[in-house]
Amino acid sequence: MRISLDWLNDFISTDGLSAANIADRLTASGIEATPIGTLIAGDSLVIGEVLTCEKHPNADRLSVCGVTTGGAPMTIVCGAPNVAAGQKVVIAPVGTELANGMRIKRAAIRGVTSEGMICAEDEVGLGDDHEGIIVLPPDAPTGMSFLKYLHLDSERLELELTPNRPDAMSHRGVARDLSALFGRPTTNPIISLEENGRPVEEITSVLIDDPEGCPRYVARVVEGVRIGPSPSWLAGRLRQVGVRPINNVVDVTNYVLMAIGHPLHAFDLHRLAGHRIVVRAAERDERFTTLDGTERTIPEGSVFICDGERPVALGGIMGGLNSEITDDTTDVLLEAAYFTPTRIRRTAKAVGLQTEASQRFERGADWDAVIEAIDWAAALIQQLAGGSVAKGRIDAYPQTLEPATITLRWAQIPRVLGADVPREESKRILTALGIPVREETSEGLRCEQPSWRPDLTRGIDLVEEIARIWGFDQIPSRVGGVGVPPEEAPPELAIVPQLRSWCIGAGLQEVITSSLVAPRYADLFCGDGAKVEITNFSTSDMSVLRTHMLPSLLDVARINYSRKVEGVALFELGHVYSRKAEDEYNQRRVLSILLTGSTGQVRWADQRREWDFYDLSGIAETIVQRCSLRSPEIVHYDGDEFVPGNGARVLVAGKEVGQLGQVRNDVCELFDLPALAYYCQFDVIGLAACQATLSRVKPLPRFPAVERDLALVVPESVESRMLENTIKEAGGALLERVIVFDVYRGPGVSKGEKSVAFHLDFRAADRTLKDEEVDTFMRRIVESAQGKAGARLRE
Amino acid sequence: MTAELRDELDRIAAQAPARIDACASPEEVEALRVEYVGTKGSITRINKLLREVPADQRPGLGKRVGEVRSLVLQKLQEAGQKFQVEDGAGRQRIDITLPGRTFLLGRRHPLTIALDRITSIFSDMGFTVADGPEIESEYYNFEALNMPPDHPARDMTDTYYVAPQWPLRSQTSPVQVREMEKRRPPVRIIVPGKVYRNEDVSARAMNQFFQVEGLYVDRNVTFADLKGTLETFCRRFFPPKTRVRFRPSYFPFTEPSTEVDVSCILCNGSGCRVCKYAGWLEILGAGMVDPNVFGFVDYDPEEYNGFAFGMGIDRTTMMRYGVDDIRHFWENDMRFLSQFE
Ligand SMILES: [Zn+2]
Repeated sequence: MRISLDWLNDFISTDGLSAANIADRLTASGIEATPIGTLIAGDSLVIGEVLTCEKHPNADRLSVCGVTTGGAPMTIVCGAPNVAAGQKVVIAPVGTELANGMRIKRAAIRGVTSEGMICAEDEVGLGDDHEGIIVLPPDAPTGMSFLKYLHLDSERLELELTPNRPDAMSHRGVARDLSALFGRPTTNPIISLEENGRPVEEITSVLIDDPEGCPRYVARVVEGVRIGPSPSWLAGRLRQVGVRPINNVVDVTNYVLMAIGHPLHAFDLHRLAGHRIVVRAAERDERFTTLDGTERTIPEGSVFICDGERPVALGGIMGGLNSEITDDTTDVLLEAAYFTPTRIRRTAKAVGLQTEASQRFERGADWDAVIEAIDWAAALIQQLAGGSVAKGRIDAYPQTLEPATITLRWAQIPRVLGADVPREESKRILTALGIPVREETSEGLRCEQPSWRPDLTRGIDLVEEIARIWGFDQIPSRVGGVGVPPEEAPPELAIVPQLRSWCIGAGLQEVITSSLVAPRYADLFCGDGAKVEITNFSTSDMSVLRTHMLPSLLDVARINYSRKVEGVALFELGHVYSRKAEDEYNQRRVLSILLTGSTGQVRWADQRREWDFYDLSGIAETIVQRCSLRSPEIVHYDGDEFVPGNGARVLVAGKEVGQLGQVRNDVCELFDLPALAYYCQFDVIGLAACQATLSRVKPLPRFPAVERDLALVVPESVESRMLENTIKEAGGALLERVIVFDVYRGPGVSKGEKSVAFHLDFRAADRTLKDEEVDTFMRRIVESAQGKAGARLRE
Repeated sequence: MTAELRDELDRIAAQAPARIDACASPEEVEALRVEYVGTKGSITRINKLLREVPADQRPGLGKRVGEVRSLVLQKLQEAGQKFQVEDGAGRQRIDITLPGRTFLLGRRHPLTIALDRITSIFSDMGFTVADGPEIESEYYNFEALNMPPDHPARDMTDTYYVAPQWPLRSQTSPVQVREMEKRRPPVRIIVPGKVYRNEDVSARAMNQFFQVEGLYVDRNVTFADLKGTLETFCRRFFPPKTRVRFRPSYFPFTEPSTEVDVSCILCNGSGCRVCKYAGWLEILGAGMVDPNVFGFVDYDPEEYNGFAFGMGIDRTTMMRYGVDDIRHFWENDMRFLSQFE
């Protein structure tokens, strides 16, 4: 919202205060304000009189004008067709910067020196018209600043208001805050209204059928007005705050609105059937054409202002085309009403209309200001458009609105703020803000809610008022009040930084991807339940909550490949989402890892290679090992994500904590991946649940180990884990460690077979083992491997 | 063609080690390097031919090329070490200026870096991490935060819905209510998490971002504690000379409410494009917990007081590093991410 300093002066003196001063103090007290200067640039534009106007000696279309701005005449060459001697015009003297950024210089135009410019509308930033120069009325005072003449010379402020402050949506509202801030009194408009018409009851009537939606409706009638343009002081003020002048009657309603904040509406009395007003709730599917010319379906329960037959305004939001003021209007019915905020809000939202009126009514207008607003508007109309004001007003007020009584206990102030505001200062602030103190005791104050402050109903609300005016700067800072955390974070959160650091140690880059994905990604794999769709999405590419992490990571790989990054190793700690049942949603935190393409080891001493399954399973095993202090069990898994036979489940103590494998080729193709991809995911809660801590260290060995190697030839179908388990079982308690150190296929091993070589360490805690003992173990191991896996020793 | 290439690779793998071992001078090693892995070397040539191999055989053969190449490089390197350079004094030395082997160490995402720092500063001040659902009920996202239906503050954000009563949380504040429901004071939590806004995605706006929410409820918690805690945070999180300003504002679930500004970290308060020449950056919203919110969780507002705060981290991180497009954080281009830490 914009306000002008000049206008503000009607309500509080701003003597000695700059726009910056005012903006700073407002900002520091809760109304964010920025000085924005005058409406149009051009401080030096001045009103001049054309004394002489002759054709340019060297150019047909140019005129040479002798012009005065009060002093000695000067020569200006002008190209406008409408320039003539005797006119009052707008002069831009040498040095003026025009709205388009052009600076006026002394210049010879076809041999005649021009000492300035006579301006057209567009050149001063007033409009788009460039047909000819602006010709002012003959009484425009020569030598006067043009901005001053148009009442456009005021500094302005742009305000950003929070939704709890509808009262500050006017010049008077802002003046109230300034009054408390600067300790200056506010002044009210002096309304001199002469009720010189017939009694209003003879002309019209108001019936409220919907007191819940419209508790109060005040009407006045002005008869015999002449519609015309507003005087420049009024038009100028409206323009400065961003309101387009229309005609004297409509402009008056807008003027009162911007001045004291209460929205008004003016009807053409003769276009109201039966010359009467009926306020009722809209029924289903009623259609109505608002002032802006749009026909709308009005939601049921909206507040309709009707005449004797039909709706004539959408209450609190916008008038109707069927009853608006036109150039032929002679009799005006003025409306000043109070509408219930939630009712206006619902309708405004449903029809998508945000107007000056709706913004105020839906946040809460001033229910007492209706009288002042309508009287002032009637007086101004009478002054500007003539006519006679009907005697009296109709005040339909079926449901009296009562202000709240607010109790403020003195103890509450330091208890909330940690600082004690002097009592006299607290009272001063409240009074200056227009909050009447009804009673004072040693305990505190009993105050009355002002009709314009819907946000003030409780003691705490007054504490805030006092604090924001007194100044947050005056409240001390206290540190050290907090201490040891009352409890630890739950394990599934505490484990997250650990998982992240392990992944980083494994060389993985962390990524963060959107939880909102395209439906085609959400449908790729089964999630934990039904997918969750956004009902009011704006782009269908992000309309579903992801069901699985893999598409998100593949998409990162896709983007990187498309930008010539050849290979990624990444992880994300993110959520997947599902709908379990109606009104039951689930989000599950997942650690997901993706490896694809080159490992990025490209230096001279590196081994250049691509990521493979065993890189991934190595990372997965280590993570589980670190978490649970034991090796996971890896078993086959035919998941949707993986190439059949190349997928695995990761189990800890029989419980599945994750899956890994080579991503299906057709899935890779969907993401244009040129290389194989490997994906792993862990359920973070699952990992947290299997967390173990070391309880007791093992003593370091005191005797050497006996080391043996063993190469077993087995059918391809025999998997190493099975062989390893067989060896461990047969090896007995003294077999300390088994490592697969080679897998060989080729000369010496027939097709359909492979050789798997193990390194074994045997150790006893209490003695050095003898070779013969170990030989016995080895024989047992080979026999067992033969029996269980069809293995034979490789020669 | 695949079979021929594979045979040739096998041949190289069989012969190269012996040939390299047999070299008697650094020049001979170099000659073999050129022959195998130089720009016109045999392995290099096979690698180039990979493109013409049928797609289904490419990975297998590519892998074999890599293996053989590694083998040859390894042997060449070993052989090279036999002929180390002698310095003038007759001592052997190696080229210590050659880069070391690539050490693969990952990185955190820049938003995680910011979240971690914030979390750690507040942990030092006694706050514990908490968490809550992103698909939230209207009750927690709005009502229990003192925003009944039709409350004008509901317009302060555009909210996504997955069902009539189920928004995606538009702030981390619902976790305040959930945590207070779970326990009695003292409550001292910090909630890093994702929130959603129904906005068109552009360079300046994303429809999801990260927030950190904080809540401290106990006896005798005042606005002075709020100021002290948040000033301490700002001084640690932002450059040391940063100034902090508290400005009254409005949030439905706190009263009094404040906006916390810091002097612009780019121009140090003198005014620049980023701070719109104001010299200040808005980074945090905070306030004393509104008694109505205590009503929803059955805390006695006469006994307890508290403060809450919330900050978005995406914008601050953008400003901190001069990131000009918020979408960089969500695209995960490795060339972007690899610049952090
Ligand atoms: Zn700046």
